[in-house]
Amino acid sequence: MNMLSTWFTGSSQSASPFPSFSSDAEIPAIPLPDYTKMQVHCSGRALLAQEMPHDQKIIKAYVQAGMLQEVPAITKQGTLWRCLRCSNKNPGLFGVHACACGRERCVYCRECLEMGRVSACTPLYYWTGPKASGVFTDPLVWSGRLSSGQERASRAAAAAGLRKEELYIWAVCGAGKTEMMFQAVAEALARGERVLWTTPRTDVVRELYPRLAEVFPGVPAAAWYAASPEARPEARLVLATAHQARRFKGAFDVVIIDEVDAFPYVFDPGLQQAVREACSPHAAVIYLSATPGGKEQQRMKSGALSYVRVPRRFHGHPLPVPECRWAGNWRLQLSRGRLPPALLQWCRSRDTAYPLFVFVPSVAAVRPAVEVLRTEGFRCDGVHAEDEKREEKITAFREEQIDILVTTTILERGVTVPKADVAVLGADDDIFTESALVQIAGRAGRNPERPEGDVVFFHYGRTKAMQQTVRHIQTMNREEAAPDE
Amino acid sequence: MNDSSLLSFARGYCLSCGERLQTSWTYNNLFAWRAAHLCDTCTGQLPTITGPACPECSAPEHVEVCADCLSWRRRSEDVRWVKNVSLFHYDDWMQAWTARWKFRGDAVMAAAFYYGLRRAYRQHFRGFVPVPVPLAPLRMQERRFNQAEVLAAGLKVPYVLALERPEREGGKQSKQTKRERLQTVRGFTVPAPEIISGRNVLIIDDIYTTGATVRESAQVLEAAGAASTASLTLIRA
Repeated sequence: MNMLSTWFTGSSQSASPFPSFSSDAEIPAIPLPDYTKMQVHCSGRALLAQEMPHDQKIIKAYVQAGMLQEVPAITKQGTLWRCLRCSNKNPGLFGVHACACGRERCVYCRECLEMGRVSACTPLYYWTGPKASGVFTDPLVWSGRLSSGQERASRAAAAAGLRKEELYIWAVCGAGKTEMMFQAVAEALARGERVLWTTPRTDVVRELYPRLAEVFPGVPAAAWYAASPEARPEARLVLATAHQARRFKGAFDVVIIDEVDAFPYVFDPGLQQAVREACSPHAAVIYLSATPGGKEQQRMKSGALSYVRVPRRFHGHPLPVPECRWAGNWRLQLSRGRLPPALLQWCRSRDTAYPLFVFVPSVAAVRPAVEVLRTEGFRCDGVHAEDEKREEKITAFREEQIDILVTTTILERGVTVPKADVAVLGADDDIFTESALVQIAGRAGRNPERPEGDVVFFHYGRTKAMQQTVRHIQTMNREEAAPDE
Repeated sequence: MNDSSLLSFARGYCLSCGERLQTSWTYNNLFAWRAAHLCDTCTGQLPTITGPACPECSAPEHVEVCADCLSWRRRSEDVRWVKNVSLFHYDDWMQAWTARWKFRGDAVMAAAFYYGLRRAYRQHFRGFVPVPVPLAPLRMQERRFNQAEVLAAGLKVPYVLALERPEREGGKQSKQTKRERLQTVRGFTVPAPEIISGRNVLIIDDIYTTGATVRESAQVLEAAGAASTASLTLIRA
């Protein structure tokens, strides 16, 4: 049945509030104005009246013809309000005011406000007519070759896409996960299906979009992220952050959830629900990650979740194993505007030709670290989530105009800078969990020309997470050395 | 509607940035208990007007009555004008805040400033009747709420919708120059003058930029028989 609901544990789903989509190609009995445009625009989405290409009168005609369904955007379920667009049920994330509709207290949703406000008096429109279709034969233009591990995962993904199954691809950082998906996406597009590639991170969407647009040149593709320009509604291949996936309802037949264990996706059941609602109930779901959570690992071991493990990087070299170094009380040092001598010494002794990531546990630590490293004579800059010049700084770092980039955990995944080394300052902080550290260590040695690369954890007492990270990476390397099963 | 009903919803999160609220327990908020609506970071960034300000319009960094107010005095037809009081300057933070509040339509964000507005009301305008500046009908349809009315609701004093505004050509004020604003006639009317005649009226608006809107409503209200007029605005740009 619904394969997604088996994975999204926790909330047992009540009856779906959404209309069912008829898949038979009915031709509308009454001629409707601008039918193809409306079909393409509305298919698989929940839209407000102002997001429609036409005015109220034409929308009415469509509603009467049964092509559109008008649903109140916010409904009351028991004592709780619920936003139909973003599935928000948290009372702390609704607002109320005296409204032009005449109500003294009209409720609106604050969770999805950025996408245009929905309130109790504004209806959402769902397309209930035949879905827009588009078949692309041989859409993939790519001449690269897959390694044997990638090949195995690629075939499994394509099979899961065809049979509409659930599959977890557990591949080490730098295994070439994106390329493994090409075949599955191409086959789905050739079957005339719509594909959603979603990830919790905006940076990942921005990095992936040009790559996918390049290998699928003939396919209408769109990238949705916060503050992205208005994307094409007719796109058959949609890249979106999990937040933006809320714009779609029942639209996709194949979903790829990239970095599935990343913040905020794992911690936010609302987002999981949104992704579930964005795809049709029988959609194929492919999860990608290097660091599955404990629950998923258990389900894989018990056989409830089929998976493919790719322990080998695409260039065939082992993962760099992190080295732990004592740094003393780094918190105290930072608060005094200094850096631990161990870190400084290591920075000076290394070959500065290679770029270096320095991960720090908090935004507050970025500035002092940058200042100290600058006085040491390094070309250095810092980024964090609220940094408006983040993009430019990362580009400058890639182009080697910056030697050292100090960053919070925002760059822990999905970012590729060739030949980089990695240092973690304060690896014993709570924010550096095992999965975070594995991802961070995975930033190093991604280029076949320099597959080694140093990873050093500077700490004030080893934590369990650090030890597990080292063990995790060693296990992966050992598995890699053994021939494929 | 009062603010407790407004806030029965948006509780436990910073009204500005949406962070979960972590109340820091200090003697101050232990003894003078009131629920926090903003997180510590946002509270720190509030551009509160402190120090010398124009006594007539709250323009920051003026000790004497400012040039704008002097020119209003020369032109004034609202002779029983008292003053304008504002709580905040207009800076980048406030601009982002207003954008979300007014243009995105997150009405409840105003509740973060209810306490400040009430305190200003008690300090300066005790006994005045609050009258929110109205929106033109079309704008009201589009925005669904009147931001001035949302502010007036926070005073916990019964407010009167005494003013009405006809539909007008011409765009948003926030897109106009100073000269254009001063020349625009909004054409406020007072449909039921008996409610306010002989009373002190306090005009409530979100932002005081040139003062043109507030002064025009003051003039109309005085013509309708108000004993005196003043204004309380959230922001002095």
